[in-house]
Amino acid sequence: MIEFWQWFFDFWLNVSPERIVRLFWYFFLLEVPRYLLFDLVVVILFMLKRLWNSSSYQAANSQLFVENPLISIIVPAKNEGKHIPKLVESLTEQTYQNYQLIIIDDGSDDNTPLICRKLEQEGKIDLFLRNEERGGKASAANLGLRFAKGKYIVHLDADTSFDRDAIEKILTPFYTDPDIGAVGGNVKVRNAKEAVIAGFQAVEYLQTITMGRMVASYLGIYKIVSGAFGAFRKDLLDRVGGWDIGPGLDGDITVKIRKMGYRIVFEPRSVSLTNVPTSIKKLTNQRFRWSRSLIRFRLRKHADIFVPDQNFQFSNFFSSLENLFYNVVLDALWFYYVIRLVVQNPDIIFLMIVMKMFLYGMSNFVQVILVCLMSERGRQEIKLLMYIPFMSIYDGYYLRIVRTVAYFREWLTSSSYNDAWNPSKSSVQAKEHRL
Amino acid sequence: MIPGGKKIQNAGGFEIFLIADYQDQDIRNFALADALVLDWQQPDHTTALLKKIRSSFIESIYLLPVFIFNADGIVGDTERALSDGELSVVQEEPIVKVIRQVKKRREDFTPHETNSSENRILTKLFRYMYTRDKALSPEVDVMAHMGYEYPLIRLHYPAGESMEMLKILRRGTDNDFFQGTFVDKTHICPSCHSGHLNLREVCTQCASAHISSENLIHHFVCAYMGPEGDFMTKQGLVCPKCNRQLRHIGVDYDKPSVIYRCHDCRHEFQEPDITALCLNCKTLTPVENLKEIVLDKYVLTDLGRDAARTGIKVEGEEREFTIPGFVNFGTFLTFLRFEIERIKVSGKESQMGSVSLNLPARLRSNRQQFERVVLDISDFIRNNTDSSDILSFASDNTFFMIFPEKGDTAVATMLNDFRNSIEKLLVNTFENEPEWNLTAQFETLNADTEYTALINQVKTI
Repeated sequence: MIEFWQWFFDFWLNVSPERIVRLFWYFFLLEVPRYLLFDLVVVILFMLKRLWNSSSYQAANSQLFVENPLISIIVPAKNEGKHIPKLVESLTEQTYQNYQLIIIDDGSDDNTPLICRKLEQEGKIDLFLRNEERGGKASAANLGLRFAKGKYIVHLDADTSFDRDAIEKILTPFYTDPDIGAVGGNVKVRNAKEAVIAGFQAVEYLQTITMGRMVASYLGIYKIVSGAFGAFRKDLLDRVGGWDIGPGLDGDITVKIRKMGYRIVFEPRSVSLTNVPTSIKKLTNQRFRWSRSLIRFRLRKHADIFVPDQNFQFSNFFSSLENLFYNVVLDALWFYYVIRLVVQNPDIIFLMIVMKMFLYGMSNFVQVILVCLMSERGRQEIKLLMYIPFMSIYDGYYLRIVRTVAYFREWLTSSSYNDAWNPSKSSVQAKEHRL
Repeated sequence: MIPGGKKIQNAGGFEIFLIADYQDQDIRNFALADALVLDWQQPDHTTALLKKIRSSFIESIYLLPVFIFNADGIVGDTERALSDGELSVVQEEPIVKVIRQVKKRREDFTPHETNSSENRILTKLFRYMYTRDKALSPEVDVMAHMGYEYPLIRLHYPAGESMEMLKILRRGTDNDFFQGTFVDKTHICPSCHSGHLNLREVCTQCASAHISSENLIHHFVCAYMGPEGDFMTKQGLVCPKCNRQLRHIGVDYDKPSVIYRCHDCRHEFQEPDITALCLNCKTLTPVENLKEIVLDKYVLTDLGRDAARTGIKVEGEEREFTIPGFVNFGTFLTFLRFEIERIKVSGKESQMGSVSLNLPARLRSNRQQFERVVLDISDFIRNNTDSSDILSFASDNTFFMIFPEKGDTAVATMLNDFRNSIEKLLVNTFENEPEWNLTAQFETLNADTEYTALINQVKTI
């Protein structure tokens, strides 16, 4: 062991910086600028802007309470009965209280209807709608939308809970700019301690949601209002006819609102907590689904974003381009890079893997420290640093492989149309009409 | 001979009468008959007479075999339950068969006297069932308070006392006199126990029944979901989101649920509440709070048949209710017989008076309170009568008095005073319960008075 480390340090201390950059060009040229330097700069600018706009933000917040609009919280759920009482409790604690809570049960076959009907009778749920036959998440959300009476729609997942001011915070941006069509809430992991894999996801969420979306929002290319926690102007949802068949329906509806020319912003101060998968199998299935939707929606359904016609918008173009470039193109490039590395430097491949873990670890470390400095619960989140040394395995290998497999399968076989996440009656129609 | 009755000749020599004329029929006349055939030409009168016969407490009357001669009409369930059968032609054979059976069974009976009205009713019931091998079944009756009746028991309870009626049946089963088998279940108003309920789906918010429902449609291709009305156009069903026509259920769309809308408060909901409006007392009750009643069919057990033969003897049930200065009813009847004999010899006139409280069973159920009231009334009666007057209290209901040679006018005035005073006492005791029917009457005893007829009359009071 000692000999290995001696070899490791002797090797890297004697290698010229130029060769290190050549060996790790992927990291230094693509990942450091985008995920470290760029983030650092943008986060600083984001915070400065927030400081600069604090008085107008306060005014918007006051305006929200002066107008006190009715909002509709819609929660599509299937077999989520056990989460509903907690969700209801979390909502009754909110600082913003003028809401109508609509739960839509999409064909649950457990005790969800019993639990929800009881809560409805107790007046804790304003409207409980149930489909005896499962119709899919989009149809459930659309049913909720049809009976929603609020000015804004807050879409939640049933297993999500909220900071006391989360609803207030997600609504306030609407009063800062009339062109804002939707606001994405910050989603963090509640069950990070339940499993190691959940801990990795907790770090990932901080990086890709809290940090990643903050940056995207600042740049005007924010493209997914999370289904777990997002707010929309109801008139816009009505105009686009609500959600289309998923998976990836939250990204799809965000693009549809962007196409109408409205701004989409992320509000990191509006915090929700959600449970993430605690087994590799469930996580892999979830990520297959998420990744497939990128091909299906960005490349197929909304391919017109790349066409320079009269509806062309640079922000939408860059939003999708960035998404495709960093996920699809760079994933392909990464495989090319790894294969080339293995072929050209088979003798030092192990040294390179350890070095790579070190470099990514440093990068992730800085990023997470940055997030924790801004976070409202930084003291708890700083403990997640223990996952950093191994993040590159989770993020750099596991997730990248899952993603790439999903892209290829979707590209070649349109596998998303066979996903049991949607009932087959809907998938058949979606496939037939190439939706 | 029975006035208005036509004797039916038969080989057995039994006294069987066909009654077609119901004018002024007195059931006391039936005590010596062996069987009656009631003509169904005047159904209301037939029913009334049948009920009168079966509600009597005189054994020879209430156990009388009674048939309904019904050439072309339809006999109701109640009449069927109270009679021994329907005849489309007057035949001797079935009537005689019942007569013989009833007579034979009655030979097993030993005399039974009781102070308890419940025991009296039960014994009567058992004897009726025993003589006929009859079961006690609940009958659907739209005129009945509860919607179901046990016709034979109902005769002794006013409408609205369904729970008392069921209580006596429960007592029968609790003491193993009856064996019950399930027939049906019904739901009644928890407030007035009426079974006449209007069940309505109502708004979950304002409880209005003014609601309507609509199917929800799910359009598969675009995931739009909304009420059927959203899709209705002149061209048929067209999706308001994607403008496609919905052609084929199960392929293009389905109807996974319904939505209700309240036309009063505009509330929308999927599962309406169901409330029952009691058509009797107008109380609104959620269905889950309605009182559930199990209706059993009862047959006599061995113990029940014993009780039919000897009368009910349940330890602790029948406590002697002694009132100072009052004789028990048996003794009273003996005094009455002596008094009739005496005035026949002396040629003078005496009076026998009675005051019936007719309190509903509900008011008698608080035994302590009831006995206190009875003692108060008896104190009053004793203090306002002469020491030569004979007083008695029977059946938890009626005060009997013999007034030797007092004169009709004096007795009428006295009874009138009694009734007024007792009424005041009852009003004070049972506030807000004005449900009694106090009656006071008297009979003049003279040389023409027949002891047997009088005794029968006394027992029916």
